[in-house]
Order: sequence, then C-alpha cells, then structure tokens
Amino acid sequence: MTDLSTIRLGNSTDPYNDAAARGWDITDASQLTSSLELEADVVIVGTGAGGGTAAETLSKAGLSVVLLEAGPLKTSSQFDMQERAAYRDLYQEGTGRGTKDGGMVILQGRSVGGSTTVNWTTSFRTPPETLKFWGEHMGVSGCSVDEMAPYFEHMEKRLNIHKWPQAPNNNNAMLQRASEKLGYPWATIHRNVRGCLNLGYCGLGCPVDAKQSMLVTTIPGALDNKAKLIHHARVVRILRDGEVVKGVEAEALTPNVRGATGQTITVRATRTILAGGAINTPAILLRSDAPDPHGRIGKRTFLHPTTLTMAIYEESIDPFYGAPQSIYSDHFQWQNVHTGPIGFKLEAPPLQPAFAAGFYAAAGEEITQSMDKLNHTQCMIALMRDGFHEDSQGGAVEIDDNGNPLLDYPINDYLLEGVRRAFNVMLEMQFATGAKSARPAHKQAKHYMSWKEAKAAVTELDVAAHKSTIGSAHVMGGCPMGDDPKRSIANTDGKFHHLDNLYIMDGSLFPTSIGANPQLSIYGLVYKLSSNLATQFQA
Amino acid sequence: MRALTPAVMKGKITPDDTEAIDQTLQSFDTLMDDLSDPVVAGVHQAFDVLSFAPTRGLTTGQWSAWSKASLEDAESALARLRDSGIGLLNAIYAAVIRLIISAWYLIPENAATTGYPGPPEKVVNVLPKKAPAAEATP
Repeated sequence: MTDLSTIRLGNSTDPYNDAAARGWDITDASQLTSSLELEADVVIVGTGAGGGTAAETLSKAGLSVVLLEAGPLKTSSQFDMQERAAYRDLYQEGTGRGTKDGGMVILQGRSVGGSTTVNWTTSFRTPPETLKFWGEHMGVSGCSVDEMAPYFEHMEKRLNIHKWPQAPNNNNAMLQRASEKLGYPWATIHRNVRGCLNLGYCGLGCPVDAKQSMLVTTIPGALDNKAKLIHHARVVRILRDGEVVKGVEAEALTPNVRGATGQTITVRATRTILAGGAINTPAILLRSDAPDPHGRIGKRTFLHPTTLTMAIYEESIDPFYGAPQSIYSDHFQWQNVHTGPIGFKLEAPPLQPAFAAGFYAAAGEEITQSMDKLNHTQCMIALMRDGFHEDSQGGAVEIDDNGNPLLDYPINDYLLEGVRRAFNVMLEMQFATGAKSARPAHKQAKHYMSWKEAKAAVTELDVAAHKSTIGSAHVMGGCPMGDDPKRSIANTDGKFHHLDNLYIMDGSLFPTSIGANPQLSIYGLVYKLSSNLATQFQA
Repeated sequence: MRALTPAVMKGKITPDDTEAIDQTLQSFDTLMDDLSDPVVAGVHQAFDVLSFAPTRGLTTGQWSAWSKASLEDAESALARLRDSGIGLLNAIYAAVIRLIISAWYLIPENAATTGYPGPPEKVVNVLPKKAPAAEATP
C-alpha cells in the first residue's frame, strides 16, 4: 500500500505570501471599520471560473476592475489537507448546501477562486453534442464547435490543461479495466495542473499550487494588472437607475463568513458582471427585483445529478491518494442526445474518509465495517446529463425571507430511471474486475457478493428520491443565454436582456447541463464574452 | 443524538462508551458551527421532529424518552425512518446519519481506522500575518 503521510511539504509556492511586495490590492472586508465606496470601470461579483477569467481579460485590456468575493481568501500556505478545515473554509455552507427538500447534496466552492480552488482539475471542452443542441434547440448563436475552439485553446494554454501523463491511481485504473473488459470506450482525462505531485488533495485545496485554479492564475494576473480584490464581501443587490445598472452593494461578512459586520461596500461601475455561480447569480437578480417578464430567472438550473456505487477488492486501492480523476467513459452518455432515457458520464472520485463516509449513506455495521476497508474500496460515479430531454427541466433557484438562496430541484421518475440503470452498469463493472462485494448508494442496500445477487437486489430496491443517494458538484444554468428574450435571460454576449450595463459571466448562462465537468466550458465561454466586452470598451 | 450515535456507529461505539459518544457529539457541535444558518435551521427542524414526544413516537416508534432507549430501540427507530414511505422521514434519516458519521470520521484518529495513513505533513506553515500581540509592558 501507499503511504503519503511521511511526505513533508513546504509553503514556498504560495504567491500570496508576498502579496504586498507584488503591490497587490487586497482588502479583507471583515476588518473594515467603516463603509467603503469605490468606483471602477468594471465590478465583478465572484472569483471562480467565470469571475477569475473575466477579471484577467478585462484588466489586461487596461480597465479598472474590482473583484468582490463573499468567501474568505485561503491560500496554499493554509491548505493542510485536513478534511474538516477544508470543508469549513472552502465550500458553500460548509458542504451542507443541498436542494430544498434535501434530496441532493451540492458541493460548491466558496472562497477566492470559487469552485476552482476545490475541484478535481478535470477539464473537458464543451462537448460538440451540447453545443449543437444549444444552436439547434436553445436559440444560442455564435457558440459552434469552430467558433468556440480558439477560446478553449487560449484557456487550455493559460491553465496548462493537458492529458494526464502519469498512470491513473487504482481507483481510476479500475474504471479503465472494467471498460476494457466490457468493451466500453474510455479515455484519459485532461487536467489543469503544472508540476502536479500526484497526491490526491485537489478537493481540499492544492497544497503546492500545482492546480492551475483561478486562485493562482487569473486572479494573480488581474492583481498584477492593478485589479482590486475584496473578500468577505457578499453582494446583496445590484444598484440601478431606471433601466441602467450602476454597480452593486455588498455587505461585509464576519471572519467566519456566517454573519454580517454591519459595514457595506458600494462599488459604482460602468459595467457590472455577475459571476457568483449558478445559485448565487440568480439569487442576486432575485434579491434585486431585476425585471423578469417571462419568469426565467433561476429556472432550469441543472446539477448533473450524480449517484455512485462502492466496491471492496482484495487488492489495495487507496482511493484517497493520487490524481482524483484521470479516466472516464462516455459509453452511456450520448446514446441519445435529447430523446430517450437520460445519459450519464462515468468517472471515479477521490475518497478521503469523512467524504467517503458521507457518500456511503449507510448506518451501523453496514457503514463501519465497509469503512474499515476504505483502502480496498473503489468508487464509481455516474453524472447524469440533465436539461436535454423534455422530462428534465432541472430546478428553480428561490430566495427565502432572509434573501438566502434555495434550489428547489424535485427528483422525478425520469432521473430515477437513470439512477437505477447507473447502479446496474457500475455494479456490473465492479464485479467484472473482481470486486469481492459492491453496494449501490441506496439507504436500504447492502454490500452484495456477486453481480447476480446485486442485479436481483437492484431490481427490488425502492429507488425513490430520498432513499437513493444523489449529489452534485456541478451547478449550471438558471440564467440561460440565447437570442430570444422570451426563453433566455442574457444574450450570447452575456448581456442581461432587460437592463443595460449588466452582464452574466459564469456557468449560470448554460441553457442545459454540459454533459462533462464544466470548468473549461466556463473558462472558454467567459474568455469569449469578456474579450468581446473589452473590445466594446475600446470602441 | 446520544441515543442514536451508538446505533449509527455500531461496531465503533458501544452504548456505554460515554467518552466516545461525547467526543462524537463535540465534533458534531463543531461541524454545526461550520454549516450555514439555513442548513442549521433544517437540522434543528429534523431534531425537533425526533424530540417532540408525539412526532417522535409516530415517526420512530420510540414513545418513551430517548434517554430510556436501548441500542435495539435506536436501531429500530433509525430503520423506521429509513424504510418509511414518507420522503421527509427518509430525508431526516439521511441528514442524521450523515451528520453523525461525518462528525466521527472527521476526527483524524477515527479516519485512521479506514486504512488511511493521513495526508502529507505541511512543515512550514506560515500563518496569516497578524498585528503583533500586545506585549505586556513591564
């Protein structure tokens, strides 16, 4: 077995260690003792894949940029690879975020760099099937494979996205081996890393800054270009003068980001860009009473609802170590694009213990005995491609009385059919590669000892919403782009249809889910939109 | 919580192991501090259903107080929530077990029982610069 606990890592890679010497303008709003008023060419709300990319592009064009982030600034010097601190500091609601009825857990980043600080580095261009569907069915112009290619190329180069050259860890190797055995096509994943040590802690914050997240690439790039970063600043609403957006108003949050300090941050800007992610961006529009004549804001929010199976092998798997995701299979993904049952992508996740235990969704000896063998455990996940079929309309973002966002995403039969099918596919793959036992993520399931037993059991299981474990790490949609204002929120430049000077530049623009891990889709699209916006300024 | 913890963590915690139960509950409290207000409110609602005698009895079959529940009672209560045809009760079950399990496995020595040797060691941990602490003037 592998033991990485004897490795000693320093903190010399952290670019924020000498932020002052670099002349970076960073404000921790939790420490403000009076309210702050600023002016800028552009204010960007959010510092994730969308906000980070837009900030670098626009600041490079010579525009003054203010970046607002509700979460804290946490950098690699503080990334100690311990689960508790990472979930507390780097995830929305301390990983407690879920859908309104509790049917799905949602993992979403919440610190400078957004989800890019904690994602697993998996990088796919938007699949051609998805772009074609948008063009043909969702009224999206200008986003064909050829039109998008140069923007993806640019961001791939910027973030050192390349095919992972090292051997997959055993958790991923098992997915490859199972695919080969059953004749499913598989491929190696591209990752945004530079000098990766293959440790496996991408989800807890890269301790050596190998991950080319926004935290260490575009945000430093923007800071070098004199952009101003304010963290612990939660945007409450956009500021308007009639039909014209004038900036945003934010509240300063306490150091633990649980409460407001009472200080406000007002940024007046020529252009306002929302990039808070597909839950927070629609929530800001809803809190601001933004015009919405066709009732579209927050609707059709997608999650790639994901389910899983766990299997125990004789050999060591050590699923907590090594590049988290390096192999995938799309065999079940594109058999139909928008007709027929839901498609899903097969991948493997990293399994640090508390995370794995949460995934298991079991109690008593069923979980404690299973967890005793975590170092021999392999996990498969199926990410379902929602938003293409008419029976898959996604969820709706709402705000509660305090303005907190909630995502109402009922799990329907169309999705549950996919869950049961995915259980079968993944269990068969695990037994085909010699699993001693395997268990679908269903509260009433147990470890089954053979494919025959598992198959019979899955047929009998009550695959209902709260009995099956379904989660999400990809929130998309809710502010769809498109040419028709009746069906979309923003045009294909990202400009909000019903107000001037307001732009959306994040994954909320997607009219469906992506059908692949979305980070590169956001980078490419936002690079395109922000480049166009920079050109407009220069005109 | 005290009654349910040994049932959820059976094989790791026995009902008379108050030290392990206390440690798990302490970890649970820390975890609650790390969640958001809406999530904490949801957890409280779930615990209200399980604490209020009439709803507790109806949903779990535990009519007497939790302090009188045996391990078997707690297991049977959990099973009723899990197997119920009512989605809300299944959701309460999912939330309760996830919180207890997470609280237990978030403790590093418990995580080690899974065959996880732990993460690499971070050796030069530069803390964020703070204003120098007010030194006591002699």
